[in-house]
Amino acid sequence: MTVTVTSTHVMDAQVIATHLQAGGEQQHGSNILVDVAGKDVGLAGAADDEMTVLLTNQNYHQEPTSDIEEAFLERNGNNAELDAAAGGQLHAELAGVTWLDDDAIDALDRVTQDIGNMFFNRVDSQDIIYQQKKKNIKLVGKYVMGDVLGEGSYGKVKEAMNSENLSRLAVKILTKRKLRRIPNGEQNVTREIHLLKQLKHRNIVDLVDVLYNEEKQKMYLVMEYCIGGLQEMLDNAPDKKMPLYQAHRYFQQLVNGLEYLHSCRVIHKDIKPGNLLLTLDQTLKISDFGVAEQLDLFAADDACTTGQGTPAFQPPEIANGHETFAGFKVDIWSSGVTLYNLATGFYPFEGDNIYRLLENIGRSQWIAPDWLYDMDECFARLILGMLQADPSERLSLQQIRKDTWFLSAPAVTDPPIPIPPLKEKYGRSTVLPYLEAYHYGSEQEQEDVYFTEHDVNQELARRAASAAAEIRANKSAAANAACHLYEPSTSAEAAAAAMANGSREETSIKKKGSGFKRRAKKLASCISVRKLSHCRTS
Amino acid sequence: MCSNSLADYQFTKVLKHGRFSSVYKANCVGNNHSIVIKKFPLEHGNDAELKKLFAEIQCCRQFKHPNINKILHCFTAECDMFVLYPYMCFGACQILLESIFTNGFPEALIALLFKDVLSALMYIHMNDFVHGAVKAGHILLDNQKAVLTNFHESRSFIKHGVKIPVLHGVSQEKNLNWAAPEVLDQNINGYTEKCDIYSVGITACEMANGIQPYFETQPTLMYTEKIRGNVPSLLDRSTYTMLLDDQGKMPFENSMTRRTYEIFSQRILSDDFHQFVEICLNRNAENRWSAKKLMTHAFFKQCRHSTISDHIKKCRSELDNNSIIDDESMGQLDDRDVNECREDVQWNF
Repeated sequence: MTVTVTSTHVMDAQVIATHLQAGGEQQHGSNILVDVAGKDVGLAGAADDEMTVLLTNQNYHQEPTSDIEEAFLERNGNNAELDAAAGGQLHAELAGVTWLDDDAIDALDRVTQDIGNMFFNRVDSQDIIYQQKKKNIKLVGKYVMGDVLGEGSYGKVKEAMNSENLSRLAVKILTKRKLRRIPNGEQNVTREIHLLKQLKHRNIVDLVDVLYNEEKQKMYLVMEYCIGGLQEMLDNAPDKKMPLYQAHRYFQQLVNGLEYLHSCRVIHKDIKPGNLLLTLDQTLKISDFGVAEQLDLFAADDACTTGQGTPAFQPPEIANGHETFAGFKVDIWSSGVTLYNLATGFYPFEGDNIYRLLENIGRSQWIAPDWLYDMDECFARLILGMLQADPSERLSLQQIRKDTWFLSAPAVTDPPIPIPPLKEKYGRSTVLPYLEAYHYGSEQEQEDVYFTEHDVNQELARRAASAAAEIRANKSAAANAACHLYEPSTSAEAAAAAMANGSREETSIKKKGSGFKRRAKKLASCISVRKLSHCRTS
Repeated sequence: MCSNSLADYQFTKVLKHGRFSSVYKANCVGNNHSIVIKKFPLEHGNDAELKKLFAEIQCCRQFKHPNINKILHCFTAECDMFVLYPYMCFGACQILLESIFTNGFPEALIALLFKDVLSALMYIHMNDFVHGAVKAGHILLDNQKAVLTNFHESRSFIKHGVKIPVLHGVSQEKNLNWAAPEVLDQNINGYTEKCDIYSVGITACEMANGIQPYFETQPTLMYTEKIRGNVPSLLDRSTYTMLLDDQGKMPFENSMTRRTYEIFSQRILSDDFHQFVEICLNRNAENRWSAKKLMTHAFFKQCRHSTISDHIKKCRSELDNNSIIDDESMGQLDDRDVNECREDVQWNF
């Protein structure tokens, strides 16, 4: 007798498998097949950042499975041949394997949830088999889907291509299931769509199309393609900042975009580098209107009552929890913080946790540090003008337009910091491999690739070990170099030593050096602020 | 010399009714010259189209070159915008391909046409512009010369007074088949004026074969083909016979396609022409020749002792017999008339 079980999650799958085993069948030698989504999984090539996750979170089992789109799990009653199940031998056995589709998986998930999982059973990692996912073309409307660009709490962002005019696009995929988990999730999305549909400007991200799939409970927001955000650029820059002239360029575009937004009575409320994207030709696009607000056409002034933005970019009036505040000035403050962050790599206000941070923002008027005046006096004055604690004292967009620094053209000093390179070698659309598989599929029908959970674990363990070894090596080298650096008389010698140690060690010193200057900052997400405001009112 | 009053123009014929605009043939009442008038209604609220037209006019008016279709004048009257162009008696090459030269233009005429087109492109590129939509439909022909028109996709390297190294932006849907792979790629490296040269290559195939390459091909397949470096080729004895070998016998339903096949499999296009197309369609933009260099290619040797008007005279009987270009003026339009047309384009200060 053969029972076939599937789940979207390997851990669940194991439980299901074992649960069924408990129902009076053989306990050992069950053979589980899992179909793994493409490239970022397991042996197929985990990216470097995945490694770091693994180091901090020793759970090797869950990492590769988080990317599984369709997990297939098969329990084969015939255990005799399965003991040696690995590599090529699997191939021969596949005849007896039943693959399930999404619906069957869902059905089984429900069934098993109803029964409840009474106890766990062990499944040998050799018996969990993954199948490498083939690049099967997937069409949503007239859009061909590509690889995942990013993932948020609401769902994934995938690259796409319009199959008719071949323009590159980004598709935000929202699932109802995930939206329900986010406070105000569905409300925010409806508002975002409503807003984006009416906004058309060079510096506002363009919403091309909205598609719904009732059956899958999914919503697709088709937007213009951006190659990256300012936050990513900063994260990849050595000092987490960009040259002044580059920040000036982006800031001018930000002001243009904001001016348009405000003219449409829209207050963005979450201006920050992470929400400023760049297109191929380096045009800045303001994105993420999830917490934006449009004033009523007959509103007397720009008074707002809710603020849900990112804490580090919030003005004092929100940090202090005022009942109402001037909306347009919120965006000015956030833009000021953004500009300051772009050009210096710092934040005007910091705090160990979100409460401290908001307390610091709300406490007193910000004072521009002396080194900022040394850097560029006009720039410092502009920042100060934008970071006035009193909203009425704060500069307006019109005043910013007339500002000396805004009108100036800062000298081009260093080369600009680049947009982090994309995964694709030539920066081409990631849709291309799917198209090739579709159009030339018969030519290069790839062999099915299978590998087991055991293989994945071993590979991950090997990588973790090598990464750990590298970090240890770096640390000792850095410590070594730091020792040298602390001898004041022989700084040149130390530098020479550092050079001799090789470029890798050198960079690690730099990292360490910048670590002294700046405390580690982790921005709390906007959700936490919302929770806070709830606390206050209740 | 051009007036702003509609009364000074006598509309003689509708040339085209488009979705957004209509094109008429008209006579200047003052001097009885033929011109083309494009009428664009302003009240339909098609802002995007209007902006495109503005951009085209703005761009065109910066150019002054014999092989670029000039805009004589434009004015608004009664909620319509009127744009005046010189009259090109044979119209767009694409129309000629559909009506007369269904199996392609003769090679010598193509060489002459492209000499004009390349000289226009050379001028545009020299002024840091990219045409962006070179195709047979955008090349107009009269007794004397070929001119390049439709500058609505044209882009400049000069932006806010600064010269940018590469351009970005995708082509319009209907011009995709002529677009260069680097334009379709839409990657960070962008593209340069060499994309026009690729389009010249595709247009050359279009003019010689009588049909546009990738006609009725899925756009996505056209894209992957171009990315892989697969290019269309000129159909003649050296390239077209292969089809027969594959099939074993001639797979034609009707005599029409059979005749086409016979023409293609028997005719010989010069090696220079093949090489010219190959250079234009180089996958790597840097290896494509510039317009200036292409003008020196051996393909244009055959232009030395002939002009477009010689070839037109040869094909005259065919042209005259054809009902699609049933223009009463075309037959009578002798050289004197054409010269007159030239002279009326003066600067009015």
